[in-house]
Amino acid sequence: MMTCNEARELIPWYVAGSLSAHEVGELAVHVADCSDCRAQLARDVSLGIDLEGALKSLPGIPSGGFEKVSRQIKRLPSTGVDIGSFLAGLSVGLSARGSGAPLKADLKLLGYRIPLLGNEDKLGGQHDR
Amino acid sequence: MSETRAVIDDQRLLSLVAAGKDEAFHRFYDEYANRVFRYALTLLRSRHLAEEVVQETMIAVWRSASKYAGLSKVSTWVFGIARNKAFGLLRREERGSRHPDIRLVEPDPADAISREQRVLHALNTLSQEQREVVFLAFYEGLAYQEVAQLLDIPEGTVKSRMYHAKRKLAEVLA
Repeated sequence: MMTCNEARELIPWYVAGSLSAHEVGELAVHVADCSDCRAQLARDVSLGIDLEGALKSLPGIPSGGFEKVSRQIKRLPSTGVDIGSFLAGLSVGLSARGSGAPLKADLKLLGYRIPLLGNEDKLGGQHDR
Repeated sequence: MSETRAVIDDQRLLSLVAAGKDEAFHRFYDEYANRVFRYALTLLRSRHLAEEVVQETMIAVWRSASKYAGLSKVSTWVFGIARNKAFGLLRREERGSRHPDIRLVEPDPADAISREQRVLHALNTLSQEQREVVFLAFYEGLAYQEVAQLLDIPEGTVKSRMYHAKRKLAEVLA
């Protein structure tokens, strides 16, 4: 049998609608027999309605936010993998930019960068990012 | 829409974002931007900082959607990112010269203050930890187990924060 303290901890979560069916059942059994917790439940239901209304009245994000995020994503640095050997000083970098740019590949040999693929920005066609 | 359906739709949408689909990302933004904004506003009490949290969160989602492992609901994952961004911004603000606004909402110049504003004022008297739990429960509808997972604290602590928050709200609104 649930105690009053346990019931009062669960009541706000019942009011918020997120208790499991099992917990709701146990709470209902307790509240049916406990007038103090029934009164608390009534107060919490009222408070819950007020809280939901107040939180929904919080201001929303100003317009234009998605465009700002999109602009930042387009400026993201390349992400990619480097495969090679430090000892030999040889590495191949393959990268796809954050948004809209074609695939590029470079060969780095002993500190020199040798373009292999897509470095004139003419390859790639339609890409989602 | 049922909760299960919403969870599956969120996961499908996120998988499209992970595949780099711009349209899916736009839909994801539309679904979550306001929710993240209000969460950040509840935490930080600054519209300007809340806007920054949304931007940083959405960029993080775009970059790391493929890392979502499905261990929690997408919403819990997104709010986890937003929470980290919010506290990161707060730390930067505290080191710098800018300070968060004091109020969750601007005071109403009219004499008659609406019930909603009274409740928002009461929320403003809670600690940040209490406000967060109240928001996640009553706006996002998260269960206490989900809140505990998101905040990485014991379930008992979540219930305790809610209990004390509720008592304080009842006092202020009496």
